[in-house]
Amino acid sequence: MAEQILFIIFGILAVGSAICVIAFKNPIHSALALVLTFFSLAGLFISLGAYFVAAVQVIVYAGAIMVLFLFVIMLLNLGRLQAARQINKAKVFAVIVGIILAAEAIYIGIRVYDGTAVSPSQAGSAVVGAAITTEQLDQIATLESTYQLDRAEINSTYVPKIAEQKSTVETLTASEANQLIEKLQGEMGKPDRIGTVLFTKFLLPFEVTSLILLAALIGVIVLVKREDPDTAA
Amino acid sequence: MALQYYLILSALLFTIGVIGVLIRRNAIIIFMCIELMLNAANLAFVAIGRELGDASGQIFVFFVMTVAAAEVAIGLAIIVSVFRHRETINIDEINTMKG
Repeated sequence: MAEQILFIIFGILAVGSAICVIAFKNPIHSALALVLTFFSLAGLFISLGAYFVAAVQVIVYAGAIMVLFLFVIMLLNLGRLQAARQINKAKVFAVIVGIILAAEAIYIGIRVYDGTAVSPSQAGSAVVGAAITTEQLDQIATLESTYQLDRAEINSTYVPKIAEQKSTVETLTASEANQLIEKLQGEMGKPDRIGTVLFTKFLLPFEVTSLILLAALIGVIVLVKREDPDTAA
Repeated sequence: MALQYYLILSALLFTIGVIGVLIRRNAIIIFMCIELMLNAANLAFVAIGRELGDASGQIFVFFVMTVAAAEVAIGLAIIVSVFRHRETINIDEINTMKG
């Protein structure tokens, strides 16, 4: 229920402020509307359980990137460069193309994923009261190795929350095991889980991003450096 | 909340970004619309990752954000240097490469 409320509030806010971004005449107003869009998206990430991503969204997008935008808008003093906006054929055409694209994308969003490929945790929930299956044990083992979790820790902290009096994964029933798997998957947005995956499975891509940032850094310095009048040919 | 609703919202945000790129003539606003489209893709990544119970979706959002930060830095530097030479950032007037 809480997720629905968050989705409706932040979804409407995100779409409304995104329309404001393209509708406002003054670039500074557009930039501030874009900040609101980024905050609403952070709210949507929280409703999806991606807490780390939500925090990074606010820090990187709403913080760093938008400050850069506002800085450049004010540096170039763009407020005075307002050209009169008139509705011409190209704009009408653009809106029509946009509406067709939206219809297409929404159709794909609805149809491409019809819910048949449910997450593995819901696969084996047919028999109530049955003992834990080997598939579920495999799945728990996979989650353990992905997030570098300790079986002893799962036994002592997660298992008693799902079934009191039980203290090992092997004694759980199939439905309780599903709850355990769902709980472990639901916590994947926590910063320590994200960090574990980032520094094990995605270590090489993570290192490559540092090269991207270095290239951007050097590129920006080269692009905006004024040529020294003494040395210029 | 079903995955479809998040995908529809993501599609709407992406389309608003596309329309913005097509109808606005100010290079900085066009840039903001590109950010909007990247964010729409991020939302789809996180929603699908949650549905599949896989943390890779959120990791990819992390990488998209890094690339977006680099892209914004470079793009705004280009806009600043174009403004220095041409005194405008209206893309209708910056058409030297049109041939």
